[in-house]
Amino acid sequence: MWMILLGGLRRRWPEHLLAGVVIAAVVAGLGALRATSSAAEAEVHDIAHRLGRNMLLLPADVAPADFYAQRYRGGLSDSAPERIKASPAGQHIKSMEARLYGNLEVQGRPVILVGQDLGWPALPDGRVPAVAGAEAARMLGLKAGGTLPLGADRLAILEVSDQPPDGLDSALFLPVEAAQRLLGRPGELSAIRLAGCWCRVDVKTLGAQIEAALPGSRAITVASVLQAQQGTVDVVRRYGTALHLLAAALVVALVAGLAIAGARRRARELGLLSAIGVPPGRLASLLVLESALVGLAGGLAGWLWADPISRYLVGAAAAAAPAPSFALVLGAAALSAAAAAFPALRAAALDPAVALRETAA
Amino acid sequence: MIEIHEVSRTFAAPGGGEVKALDGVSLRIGQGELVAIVGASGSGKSTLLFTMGGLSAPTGGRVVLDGQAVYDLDQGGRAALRRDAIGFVFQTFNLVPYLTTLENVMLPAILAKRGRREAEAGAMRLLERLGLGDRRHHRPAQLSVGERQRAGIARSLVNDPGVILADEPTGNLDPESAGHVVALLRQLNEEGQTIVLVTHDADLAEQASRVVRLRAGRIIEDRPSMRKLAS
Repeated sequence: MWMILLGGLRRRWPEHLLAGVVIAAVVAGLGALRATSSAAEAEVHDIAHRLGRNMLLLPADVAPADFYAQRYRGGLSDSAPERIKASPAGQHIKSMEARLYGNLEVQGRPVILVGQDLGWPALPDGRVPAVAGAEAARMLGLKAGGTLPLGADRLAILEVSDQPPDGLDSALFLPVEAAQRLLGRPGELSAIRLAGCWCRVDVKTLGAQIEAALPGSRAITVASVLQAQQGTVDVVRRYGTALHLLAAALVVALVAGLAIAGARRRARELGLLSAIGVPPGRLASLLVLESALVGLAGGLAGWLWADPISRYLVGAAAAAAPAPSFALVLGAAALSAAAAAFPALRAAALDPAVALRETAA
Repeated sequence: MIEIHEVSRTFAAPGGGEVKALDGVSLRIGQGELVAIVGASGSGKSTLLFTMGGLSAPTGGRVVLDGQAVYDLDQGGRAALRRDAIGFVFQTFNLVPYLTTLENVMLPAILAKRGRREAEAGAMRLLERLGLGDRRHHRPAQLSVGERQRAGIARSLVNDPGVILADEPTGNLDPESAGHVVALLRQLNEEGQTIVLVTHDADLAEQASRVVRLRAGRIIEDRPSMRKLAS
């Protein structure tokens, strides 16, 4: 029967080529859609990664506007980092940086004190290590290597920073304990900066988990930004599903139409095959196999084209997307076979005597 | 041997109602006979031939081929019977256009799972015998009508069937080609091949051993041919 199958494919190459090209275009389009959708999702993921590092935990009664206007208050306990680590959110958090911010007047000048939970060096003579922002150093006449007496402490200026954390160039940065002592707020924190991998949890949920672990706290997140981004991806995905269905319907309609037309044109040939002893089931499977092979060839061509098309559409981002699934190729073959099944069964069931007589010259 | 008992076949008429193509036909064709079925257009002769060959189920009656009731078999069984026990020759040749002459002739043998080499050897023997050996790689469109019909006859013979059913085998041929085909059929019959042919051609019919005449789906005459009587 391969003789008939291959001969039939060769003889009716224009219609098979048409079907193959349409199937290839559909498969390539779907493959590229999937790649671009995956690239967009990867971008959202990446944004989540980068912006996630900026999650900030503040006391619930501190308005973010006050915080950013450098009007600082305490409100969080310095046991908060341990409690976050012990909470369900802890598994997603890679690092935490506790800070105590406070406003202080030094030598008649307003200065911001920032207690930072970093690996500060231990200095001899009870000196407290500190870094001065450039403006603070200018106002107070500080230089790297100098000292600044403050209350009962002596700050050792390790460095004058032109680019201090958060752009606070009128701040003095020092260990949290020293800041608590100098500000008279023992056991208090103003804020905690959180960093980690938010891959397995969306930022909004993570924020809610942290707030639940620390009643009276507020997580400032980028959830709304990410939500908007994810919304875009979801829309693409939703339309993608509709496009998949539309593409499947197109393939089914085309293949079924060509199968019906082909079976009509081949009525005499099918009648002859039946007359010389091909059973109806085998005749139908021959037609179905023919369509499946066209679907397979078209699907394979489309699969090979999907990657270049997605590269053309989204550039280098496509490289990060997974390769188009080979299931698309098998799906195209299966869909083509399914679309041809009914016309094939009908053609095979035709009375061979009628087929031979009606189509006789 | 073919036995036909009270076979009827009705078709739905285009304008409603029914047309009786066969009306209680009974016929018995023995081994080695060359029977010509004749009659005007629409008399039911092709329908009778196709019914005999398991291609068109009768609406009444029985067809028995070598002791096997043809229409007691399911479709697969009838397909196997047509493949192994019957050879068809058609007026329009019905060669598969995209296969070569050799492939067309070996096709029924391949369907009978005889193996490609054996099928090819059998087909080649028949093509040589029918004078088509040098045309084996030609496609049907490259053959003359007479050659196409000889290829059709070769195809009908390749599985060594018990009976050949030929529907107007000379209907599309020029007189010279028709003469060759008639001579070939007679030669096959003389070698013991049972042949039933449908024809309009009175001269061809008289080349048979027996003539069966149909009118309006009924047998109105069943007699030895002139050739038979003369011999």
